[in-house]
Amino acid sequence: MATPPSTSSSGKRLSFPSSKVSPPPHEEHPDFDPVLAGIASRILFRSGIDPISSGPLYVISAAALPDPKTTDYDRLLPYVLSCLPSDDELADSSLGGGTYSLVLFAGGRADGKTNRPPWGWILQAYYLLGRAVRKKIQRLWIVHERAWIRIILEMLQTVVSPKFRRKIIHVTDLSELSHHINICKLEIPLQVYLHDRKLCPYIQIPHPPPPLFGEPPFPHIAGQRKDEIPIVLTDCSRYLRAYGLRTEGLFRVAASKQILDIAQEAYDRRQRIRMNEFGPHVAAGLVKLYYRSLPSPIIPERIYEDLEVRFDKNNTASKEETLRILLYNTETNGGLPEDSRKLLTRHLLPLLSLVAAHEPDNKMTASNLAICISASLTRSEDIMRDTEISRGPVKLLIQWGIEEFDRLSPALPQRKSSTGIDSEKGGATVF
Amino acid sequence: MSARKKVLLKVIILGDSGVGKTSLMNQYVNKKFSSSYKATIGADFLTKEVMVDDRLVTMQLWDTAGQERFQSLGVAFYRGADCCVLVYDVNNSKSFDMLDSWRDEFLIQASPNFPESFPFVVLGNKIDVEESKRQISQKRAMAYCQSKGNIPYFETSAKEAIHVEEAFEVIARNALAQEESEEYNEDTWATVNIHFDDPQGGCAC
Repeated sequence: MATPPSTSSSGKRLSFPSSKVSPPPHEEHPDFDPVLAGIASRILFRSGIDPISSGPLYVISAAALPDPKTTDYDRLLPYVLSCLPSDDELADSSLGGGTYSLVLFAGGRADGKTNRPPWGWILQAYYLLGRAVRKKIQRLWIVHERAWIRIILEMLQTVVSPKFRRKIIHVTDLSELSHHINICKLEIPLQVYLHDRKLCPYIQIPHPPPPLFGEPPFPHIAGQRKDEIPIVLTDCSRYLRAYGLRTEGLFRVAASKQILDIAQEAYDRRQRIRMNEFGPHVAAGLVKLYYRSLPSPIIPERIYEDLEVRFDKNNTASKEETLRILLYNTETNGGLPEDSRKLLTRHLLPLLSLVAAHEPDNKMTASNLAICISASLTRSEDIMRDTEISRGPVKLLIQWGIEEFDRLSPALPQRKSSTGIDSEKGGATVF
Repeated sequence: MSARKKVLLKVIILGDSGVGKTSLMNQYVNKKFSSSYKATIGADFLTKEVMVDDRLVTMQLWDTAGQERFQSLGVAFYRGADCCVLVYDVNNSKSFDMLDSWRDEFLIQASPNFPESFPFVVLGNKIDVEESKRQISQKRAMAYCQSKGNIPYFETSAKEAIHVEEAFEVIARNALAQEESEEYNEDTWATVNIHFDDPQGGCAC
């Protein structure tokens, strides 16, 4: 597959013996190594669109390079190269005329170390790429450059064509990269964000959209009212339902402030994140933060007194009755504001009732969850009054809502009939 | 000033969720530990009367919810505090990293007259958990406390009542010293002088 490097244009460039690249074993082959394949897919992956050619864009993340002492780089190489398009694929591709670009995040891991692959390996990797693959690169953006990358480029000067060198663009950080490509469509590893933050405290993109946090949840767009649950909430729910339900102290334990900030800013740019790198506490933290920053809190101050009456010990209304009024009636008929009802019944309560169902693992009872979340649902000028309301009626509202959600949910107009809904709470139409 | 008035010391306990603020307080005040995993609502206080040297003081211990929303509890809550206890979990490095922001928040909200000398005490809790889970070494915690103006540091276990009594003794002593220094600053020099001239050391009660 590999073609020997061309020596025709310049006699100065070194000629390397042609080596054979054997593709990695097929996934079902006994020699297939899923660990190496996993490492490779974090080192090199396809993401976003090349603005130059409209072809694919590939990302190389140096932070994902494993320790050469513990990982066999020779065995890793075919797995890494298989993440790139082959000569044949490129020749055949209709997209972007078979061309593509690369973004290299050279920044290291959060602990400041970078695993540098052996020099010979880099040269070998370059040769094994194949001539067509090399030629069809439109641009190579190098972000967060480090000394060893510069050394490689110097070394490669003797073997790389001057033409290729002209395709290389150096940028200092993600803000600068955003002037070349739309980084919001790019899958950026957490390590890269953490490295970027050391250089620059905030990512500034051209023409940023209005922030998602602090926006009305169901804004009017072109005269139409948006009805979907905000994407950050659905992303967090999806991730938590799949991977987070057994995490001890979910919604109680605070997330790392720095990582939570990174995640929030990403969503404010309308950029998705690799939730599995951020973890369950960040996902739960995003949910709390989203509710806490709503322009109009879920429980507005004007209904504090009404809530105190409804949750008074002497009130004879049943739990279910009280919940039905608050969660399903219009505001003029005693219910919560429309946006609050939508978010509670379609997002928060289904999610929390699922978390509470895993209480033996995560230790979060309905009451515990209600305590931890209710503080994020009130926000008036008077924090002492908020505390009073959130620890009293709001806590009960959420706790009952979690406990009774199954019984209440059939009343949800959006909810489909029981067919087609999985056995877990929540079903297909709620998040 | 010669007649001793009853001293009420306001102590605020801060730290991330789940580090054991309520448990430490319960262990100190009620000599009880509950392993139930129960979050604290808002803020609440327990009181305990203790003898500091020969003085009877009432400690009002304010337990706070570690929820992010309560990171800015407001001026009303922090006002008049005599000591601030910062708690982290030695098995959770994030809770240690957050000490600074809890401390800053306190100083901003409480705005004591002399922030550099305001008494803080740091407690590294849950030392009963097996050693292999430990994330913050004693050395690291002590270096931090030293860098912040020699904050007293204790490694505690609310579960097994290790160093809880000792820690709160220092908390009470430092809170009392703070309370007295505040009085000193508020009083006129004349009164203070009389107070200092008392050969009985002020113990005329």
